[in-house]
Amino acid sequence: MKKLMKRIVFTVVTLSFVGLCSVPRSWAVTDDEFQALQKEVQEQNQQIQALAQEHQQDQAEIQTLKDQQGQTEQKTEEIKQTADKAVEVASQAQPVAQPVSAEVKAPVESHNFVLAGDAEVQYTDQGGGNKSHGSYGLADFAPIFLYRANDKILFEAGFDTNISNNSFDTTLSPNPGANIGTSGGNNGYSTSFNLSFATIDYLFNDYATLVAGEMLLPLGTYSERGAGWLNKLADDPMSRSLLIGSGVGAQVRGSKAIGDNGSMVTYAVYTANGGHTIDGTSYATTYDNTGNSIQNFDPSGNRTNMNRTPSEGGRVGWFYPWKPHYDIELGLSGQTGEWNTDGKLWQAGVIDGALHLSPYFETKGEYIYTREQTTDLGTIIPQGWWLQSGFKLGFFNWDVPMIPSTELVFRYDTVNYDIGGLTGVAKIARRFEPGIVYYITNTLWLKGSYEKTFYNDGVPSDNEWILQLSYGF
Amino acid sequence: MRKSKWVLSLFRFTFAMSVFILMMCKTNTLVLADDQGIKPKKVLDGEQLYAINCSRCHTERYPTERTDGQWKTILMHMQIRANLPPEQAKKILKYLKENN
Repeated sequence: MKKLMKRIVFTVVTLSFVGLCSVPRSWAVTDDEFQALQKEVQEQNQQIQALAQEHQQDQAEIQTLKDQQGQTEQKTEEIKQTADKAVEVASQAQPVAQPVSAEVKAPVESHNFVLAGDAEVQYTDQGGGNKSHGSYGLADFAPIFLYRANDKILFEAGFDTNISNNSFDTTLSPNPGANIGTSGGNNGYSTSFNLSFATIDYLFNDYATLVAGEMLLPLGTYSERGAGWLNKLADDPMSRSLLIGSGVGAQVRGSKAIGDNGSMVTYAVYTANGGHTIDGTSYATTYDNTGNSIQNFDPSGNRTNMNRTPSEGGRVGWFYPWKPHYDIELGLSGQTGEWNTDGKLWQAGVIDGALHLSPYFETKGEYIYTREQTTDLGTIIPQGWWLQSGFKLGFFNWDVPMIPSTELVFRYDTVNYDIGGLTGVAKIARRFEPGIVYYITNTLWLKGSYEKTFYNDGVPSDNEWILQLSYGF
Repeated sequence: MRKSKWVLSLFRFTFAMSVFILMMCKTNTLVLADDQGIKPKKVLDGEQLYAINCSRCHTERYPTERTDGQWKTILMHMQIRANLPPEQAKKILKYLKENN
């Protein structure tokens, strides 16, 4: 070990000596080397000067950019100040601008005239016996004009412009009694323009509103809230032909909320010209212009008043919702009064009901009871009822085109005209009507249905396909 | 016949009295529950009343379909036609005006 250390020390000392001896030799520079070095130094100086110039240019450029930045900031500040001033000016000018805004808004706020209503076009394929007849049987435009004079007075008028091709050829039905309950059954083509209702309404207070004029009568709810576009089937229940749809007179109506859940009781009392006969007599039936027997009672309300005194009537209703789209409504209504010059009475009583269970299911109906004092048949009791249900297929939440916008509808209605004493005239009619509503939009509906009507007294049944496009506006 | 006329007269009397009494009623002032020191109940808002009442007879219309003034006229019409209590009609109108 000692030997090794000695060798290492010796080697280090030797190398150090050799190194020290060699250094003085490197300091010795020749002329050529000196000139080369001098040249190299000059070149480096030139490079340094070039870099210095570039640096100066960069500095100048930086200064220029700084100047530009300063100008930009100054402009930004000026713009900001201008904007602040504009806001300040605008806020100061607001009180002046408000009346201008109010003036612009005023016509919209006081826009007291509204056009509403509905329109329909209908294709019908009717059959009776072994024949059928298809045609575009109806085009109907029924506008409603609403004019709000002020917060207490409203004028409303509904018109019904109807062009119909009465395609039902009575020869298709071997028995004219099948036409009982319709308003005619005339062949051919007709155009009509009727005033459905026209009233002046005055809101006395929160409980009472006076309605005067040609009124839709609150016998049940169908006339006021179920006909036309609101009806999910294209035609009316047969039993509605036992009642008057409208009449000239005066009415007081209103409602009172019960609690805070939206429930209410409603009422309507009215006096109107009352029931009418078609031919002015008190006979139970009369004839249309093609010789068919039809009921003498006129449900249209558009006849001359043939009785001595107006009739009176009214309705009370109760509505109870337990949450949105879940509710029940029940109503009781009636009318009594003379219906001809003989002082004979026509009286009616109606029980109506409606039930909604979710946005997808509803059912409603009416039971109609009437009494007619007639010359030929004594007191007859025409009566009937109808029940209609609808089920929206959106309930299933199927991701299938068109299905969520489709509703299935079914109605059963029956009517007993109580005129069976007449030979060959149907007394009772029963109708089954399944249908479909396709909601193209919330106001444009395509309705399709099939009707099958059965009669008693050997009268052959009728059937009918109906396709209707209906638009509510 | 005599019985029917008696019923008719009674009905006419009732009708006339009903009209008279209703005309004499004072305008109802809506008093909120908390004004009377009673704990407020859950009160339906205009949107809920709109869903409850309007869909009973027809598909619901979008509030944007009409202007404020038109909705005011229509609600006056529906208050009469559908027998809506005025306070409910007012809430529905407020909802429609706020969302059209």
